[in-house]
Amino acid sequence: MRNYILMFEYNLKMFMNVNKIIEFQKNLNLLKKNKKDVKIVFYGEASNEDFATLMGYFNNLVQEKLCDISISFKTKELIVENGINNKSIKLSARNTKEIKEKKFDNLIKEYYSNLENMEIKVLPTKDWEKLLLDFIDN
Amino acid sequence: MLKIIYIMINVIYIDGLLKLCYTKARKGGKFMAIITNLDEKMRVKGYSLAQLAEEIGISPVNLSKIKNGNISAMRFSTLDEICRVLECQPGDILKYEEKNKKKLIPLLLDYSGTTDLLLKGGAEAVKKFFDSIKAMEQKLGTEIRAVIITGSAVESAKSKYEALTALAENSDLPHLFDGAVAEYCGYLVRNGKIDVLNTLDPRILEKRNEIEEIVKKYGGEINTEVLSLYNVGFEDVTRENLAKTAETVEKLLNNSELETVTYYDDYGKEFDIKPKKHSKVTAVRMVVDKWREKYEIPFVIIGGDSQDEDLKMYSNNKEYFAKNGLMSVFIAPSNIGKLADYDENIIVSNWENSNGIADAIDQLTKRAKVKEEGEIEL
Repeated sequence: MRNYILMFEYNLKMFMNVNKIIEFQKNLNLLKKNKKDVKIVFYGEASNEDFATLMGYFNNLVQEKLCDISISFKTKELIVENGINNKSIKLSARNTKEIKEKKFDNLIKEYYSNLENMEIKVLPTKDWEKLLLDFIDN
Repeated sequence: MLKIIYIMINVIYIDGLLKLCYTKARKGGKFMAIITNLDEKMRVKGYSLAQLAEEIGISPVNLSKIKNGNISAMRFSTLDEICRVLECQPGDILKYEEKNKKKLIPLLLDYSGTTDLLLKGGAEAVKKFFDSIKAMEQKLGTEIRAVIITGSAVESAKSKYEALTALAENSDLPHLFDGAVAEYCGYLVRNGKIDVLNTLDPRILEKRNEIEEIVKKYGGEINTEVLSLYNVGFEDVTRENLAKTAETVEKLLNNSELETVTYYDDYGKEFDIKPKKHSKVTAVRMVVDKWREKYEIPFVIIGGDSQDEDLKMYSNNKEYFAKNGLMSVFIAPSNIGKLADYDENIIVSNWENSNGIADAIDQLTKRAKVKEEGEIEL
């Protein structure tokens, strides 16, 4: 099973869209039939609470816990989604420096250390619901 | 003699004027009316219909007509007597209200449980909810506007309000979410100082003078305008500050010797600040009252998932709204149990699959009838 970690910049308006989410769900099913899976990580300047809401709402809307963590540039914390009891973890000095340059590899690999065959993709938010199609082998 | 003539002229003039307003309005096709607020004034002054009728010297039947607005004119002398006995001004009991105001149905949703439930069924269920709103708006020719009624967790209320707004906007319902009222939210704390205390809490309002002095000591001010609580007033509140806020609130309340009871916010944090009369009740009332000034409200929808405070948003306001000619309904999940058996305006639907709010709205849409004059009947 190949696991893609999709990194998206925080954009509430772009992701809180039921039509896009319904299309994304369809594409996700196609991807899974292709023996592949995804995790989503949001990052950006928003607050921990904003990320917690986006993660919680997004997971609910797609009916699957795809988003476990977010990275706040504002608070320099990793926000872990866990229903209403969200937790935040202060980033190390190294990670703080790296995320400023949008280098997420070390941080993500630390968190998803158990995930095999993982590939991190930093993606644009435009047409995010269609991007999964690029990972499906014909 | 002159005095009698003067009074007669006044009676004819006022009587004629009121009739003219009424008739002209009807003839012009634009229905306007003078409405009476006598009921509320009598309640405040502690008068029954019979008592007041006797005091002012008219029959209870005629007074009842005045009270219920079933008149097209009133004698100036009667108005004079009513004002004398109730110690008020004519403007306190007579109000001009345009009848063809824009129609608006308030949808007041408890936030923590209800709005989360709304999303639990996934994107398809949310789509169904939005479709149910659109169907009701289309059938009734009105706009539905939702306000999230929340506890003290203003910080997450802000995030959730913004997320819901984005969802609605992307589904062609940009007007749906109007804001979030944090019943006891608004402490903006900067550098350990209170800047503004936003509150709807009636106990705070009652004790305003005392509280104001304490808040001033901290270099802050009190803001009790309901409109300041939604869409604004959220800035600079962090979770850390929320915890500090609780301590500050408790301190303020202790200082003013207000009775407190336990309250839990969305993070399970205990606050000793909840007034006995739950202020969600007040929040609902204040939002609806504010909108009544601007819009014609066919009925009010209150949604909640708890048998305790959410149900109170409905039950404690039902009579109040009815006095103002407003019908209210409560939409609730099936854990509300058999309450619906006792009140036909409690709409219970299965919210376990998250489509329940949409089902409840659909039930209401089906039940609602639009009469020829555009009047909506449930």
